[in-house]
Amino acid sequence: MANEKVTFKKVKKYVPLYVMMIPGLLYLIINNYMPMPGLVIAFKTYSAKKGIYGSPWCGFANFKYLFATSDAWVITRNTILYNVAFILINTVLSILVAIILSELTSRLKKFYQSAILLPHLISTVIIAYLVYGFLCVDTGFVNTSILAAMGKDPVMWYTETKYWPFILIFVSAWKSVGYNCIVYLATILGFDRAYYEAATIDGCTKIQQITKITLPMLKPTIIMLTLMAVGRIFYSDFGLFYQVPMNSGSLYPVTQTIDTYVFRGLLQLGNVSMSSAAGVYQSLVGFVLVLGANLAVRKVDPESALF
Amino acid sequence: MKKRIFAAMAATLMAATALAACGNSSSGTSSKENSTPSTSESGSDSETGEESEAATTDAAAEAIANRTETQHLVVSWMTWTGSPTDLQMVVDKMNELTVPALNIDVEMEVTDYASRNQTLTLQLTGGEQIDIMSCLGMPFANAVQNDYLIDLEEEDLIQTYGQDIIDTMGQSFVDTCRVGGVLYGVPNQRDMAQGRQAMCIRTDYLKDACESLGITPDLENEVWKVDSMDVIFDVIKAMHDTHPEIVSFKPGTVTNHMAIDALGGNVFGVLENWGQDTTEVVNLFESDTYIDYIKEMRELYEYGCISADSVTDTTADMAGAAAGSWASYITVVKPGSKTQESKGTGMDMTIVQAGPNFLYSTAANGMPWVITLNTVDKVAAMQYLNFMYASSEWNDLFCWGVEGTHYVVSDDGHYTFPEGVTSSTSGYCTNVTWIAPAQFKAGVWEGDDLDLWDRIDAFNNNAMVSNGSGFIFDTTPVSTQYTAVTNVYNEYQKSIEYGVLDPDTAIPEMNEKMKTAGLEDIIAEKQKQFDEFLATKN
Repeated sequence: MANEKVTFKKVKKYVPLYVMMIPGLLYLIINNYMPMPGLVIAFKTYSAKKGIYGSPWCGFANFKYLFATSDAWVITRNTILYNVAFILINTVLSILVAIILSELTSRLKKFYQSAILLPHLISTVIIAYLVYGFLCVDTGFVNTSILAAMGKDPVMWYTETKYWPFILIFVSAWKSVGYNCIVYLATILGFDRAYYEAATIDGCTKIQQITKITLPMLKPTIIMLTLMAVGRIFYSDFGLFYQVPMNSGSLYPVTQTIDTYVFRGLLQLGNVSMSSAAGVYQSLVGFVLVLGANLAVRKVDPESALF
Repeated sequence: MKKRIFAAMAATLMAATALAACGNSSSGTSSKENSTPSTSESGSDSETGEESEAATTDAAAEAIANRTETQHLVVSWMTWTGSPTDLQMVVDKMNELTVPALNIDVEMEVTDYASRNQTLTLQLTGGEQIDIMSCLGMPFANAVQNDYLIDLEEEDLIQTYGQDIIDTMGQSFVDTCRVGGVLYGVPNQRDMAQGRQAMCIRTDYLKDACESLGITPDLENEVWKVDSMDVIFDVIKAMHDTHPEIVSFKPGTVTNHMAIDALGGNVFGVLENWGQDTTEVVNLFESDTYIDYIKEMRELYEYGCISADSVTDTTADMAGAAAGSWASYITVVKPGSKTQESKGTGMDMTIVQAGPNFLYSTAANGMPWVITLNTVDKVAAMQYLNFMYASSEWNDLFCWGVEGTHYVVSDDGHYTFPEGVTSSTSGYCTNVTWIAPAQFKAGVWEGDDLDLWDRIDAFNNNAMVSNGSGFIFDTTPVSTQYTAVTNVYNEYQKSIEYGVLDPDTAIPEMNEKMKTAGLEDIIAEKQKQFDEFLATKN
């Protein structure tokens, strides 16, 4: 009886919070949970006349195109390797930038922060043309100003595959570091300054402060954000892989990812079932990866695990 | 505990009401504004009555008489930029025609091109009411494969209520919209044939080039007809010699330069020799037609006529020519081409054509008008569709808007903008008049010859007809292979076809990859479907 009262009191205390949760919860239910039964469409030969549930089953036939060809290996490899590179490099750079920004006392700090954030707010199509301005074969800045001045031959940027892993990683970092560092920066600013003061009195250098105080305290945030990124490791930033290489066919071996493959392949077919199949595949792998990553984190450091 | 259950129930309830609201709003559109245009306008009343009378069968009259309430239909089509500002004004005028004649009024949903396919997929799978639509923006074959369309001959629908459609288009053109023998749509009146192996070249550069070659171009006629593509290639090279400062050639859909019929709308399996005297589906990429042409392109590329940037440059052909980026590009010819290209580039352009005027397999059925499975009343939809093909007033409204507001008729009979109105200020300037069901029944705009429609009609009827004409390829049985092969083609297409790669190594490489991806399955399936098609045709 007494126990129940306590629970009741607890619930009552949080009623306003539950009420605040309702809109978000509704959104989640309507947008993320209600469509879930529709996933069956990936296993059916869809006919609009028969409807989603009336269409005949076809097993895994819709998934075949994802695995049937030699492209399957290339697109899976590209998607995962690029995302791993993005997660590593962008996280390191974001933390670095966040720490530098937090240590700055200059009045220009706000300006720096906005300047770094700006690329995130630019549409990928425009970024693609900024890159094009640099790399265009006939009139691009790199070929006409830099390579020419160095006395080197112009490079056919949009047909040479070997440069693109670096270009894409660079563009991705340039675009996303500003945004990613906000979370880290906010966390760092929330730390108790007393630690740092104590450390200064004890004669700690700046570097020591960063490695001994900031980074360890930042660890849970890093793990959480990385886990979330791992969940999306099977998805790729469509704009980055489609727009930035200007949809150049010769670059497909290094720029084709699952999303662009599905888009390019199904653009002409407009097959609802096959595109759903790709979605199901991506979400399932993502789900397994999140569970796996979380399991690994829990083994190493139970405190930081998400669940 | 109770509270928690209550909260959960409240949440579910709210979710349910929210969903119900969604559902209502989509189906609610059908009942709204049912009675807006009343049966006034005495003038138009009798006129339209007369016009459709000719073909109005007893059944049609009966259907109209049985319609106690004005039937509300939804018609969906697209423009490049979305719904015109004055759309409702035009639709009101259309309803003034159809409410007295058919007791039907419509609402028009006009989407922009970019979102067309996606919007339609959502609407059609979501059960939203669309009675009649233009298939432009959602490929006809896809719509058929996904079962979005109804059989127009079900219960003799078109024969009973759509006789004007057959009269306007002719049975042979109507038959091009059959898939597997079933009639899913009706074509519309426009330029269907294409003048192939054609180029659009800036006249000033062309003159200099021809002078250096010692040949005289025919600048008097609308089209300069030449004997073979070789003349065109020579001219391009001469342009580079005389004007090296400009890119002389911007390649595009180079398969339009090859003597083939891209059977069923794609190049995976084609008929050679313009589909004449052959019914054999072959692999284009191993044919001499392809290899010889690509070798020419390679030569042009190495000669310096083609820019290395062409593989990534997505500027539209006309826009690039207008900006002075290139001097010529691939085009397909129809009556009025010269005017259209010159207007679009702002420069005097010359059309050079080496091939025939060609009625390819998907020429007529590229953008048919169809009735969707979400229609609320099949008979009413067919009657309205019939009206769209029968009435010249309706087509005038659809193409050019309301007389006096969006256009005026000049003394010689041309349609033109009223005083002070331009294409950018007009509230109804769709730029897609060619999707109109019966464009030839509407007026001719200033700048085109008054006999334009007759010339286009003759152009269509005199064109060389492919054996594949009217064949639509159902990709469903080979969708896996189709996706894979499409991706291989995308990878190589531009770099091979624009001459950037060495064809001797690149074409075999592409063929190799395509075969692994299943090109031969596609060709075999296409041959099978084509044989069936030919069997039903004879």
